[in-house]
Amino acid sequence: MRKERFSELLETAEFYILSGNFRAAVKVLKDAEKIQRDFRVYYNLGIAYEGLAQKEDAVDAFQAALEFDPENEKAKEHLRRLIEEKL
Amino acid sequence: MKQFGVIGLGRFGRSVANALVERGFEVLAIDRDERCVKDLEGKATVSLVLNALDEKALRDAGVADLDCVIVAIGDSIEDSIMVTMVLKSLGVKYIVAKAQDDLHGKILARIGADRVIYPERDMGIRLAESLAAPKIFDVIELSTTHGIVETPLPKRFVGKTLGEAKLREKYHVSVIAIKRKAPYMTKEGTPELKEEVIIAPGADDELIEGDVLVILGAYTDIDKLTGK
Repeated sequence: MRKERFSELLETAEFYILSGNFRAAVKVLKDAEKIQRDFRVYYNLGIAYEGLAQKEDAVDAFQAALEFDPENEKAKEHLRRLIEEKL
Repeated sequence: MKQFGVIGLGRFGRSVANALVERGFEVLAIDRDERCVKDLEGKATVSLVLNALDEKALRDAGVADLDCVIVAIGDSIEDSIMVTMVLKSLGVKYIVAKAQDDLHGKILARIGADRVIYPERDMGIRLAESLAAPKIFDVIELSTTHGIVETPLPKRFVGKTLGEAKLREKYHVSVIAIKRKAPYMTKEGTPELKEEVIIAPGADDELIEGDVLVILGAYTDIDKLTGK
């Protein structure tokens, strides 16, 4: 049941991201985080924060994502670019 | 085409000369140290070993006819002041002089430098500003009072059109571009972002949370707008 709810929240968050409603995506992803913490939650959170130009939050989220999948090239690339932009 | 002179080819002078050459200007580069001049040979249009305190030598080199001369002497305040005076008496149209501190700068301005620059101080201030105010991502300085600044869209304008935000009427600034991260779906089915830049946005363009505005205006007006 929790697993279904979790997938549902992730899908909703991705829908919000793709429709450009990053604020709503963050809210849904925070709910998903309470059920389960994994790469997809934090990666999407990073994308949503980046879309909102909240760079520090985006950095934190991509770093958290990399804890679950340290070799993920996309997350690494986002992180690298965000840190470069912040300097 | 504009012709520039750079006197004093230390690190600062060299980088100014190189940057001007790269932008396609003619540059006459002068230093009394042969080694510094050698570094610029083949890059600057003409590079000369010359004592810039020698008014006749400068005149013979054609310095008086240049559009702008940059005094980039860094090791001796006395020499930088003397050379600026010599350039003034030669009738150089526009003299830019590098100052090491406030007193040096005041003297340079007093004796006729058209523009005094403080590269070390300005770099230090800019670095401190960028560290202290992460809201402002980047600044292109047009003058000491005006510039182009990138700043996140202040919350109070979210959802308004550029016309409704009345930035020109209220803050006397122009939005020259809007940068925005647009979402899309990758082939693997994950959300991704690409940067979109709306150049010269119109009054009907809507401002969205997360937008970064590229604004042209006076720093004091930009600060009012960003609530700094």
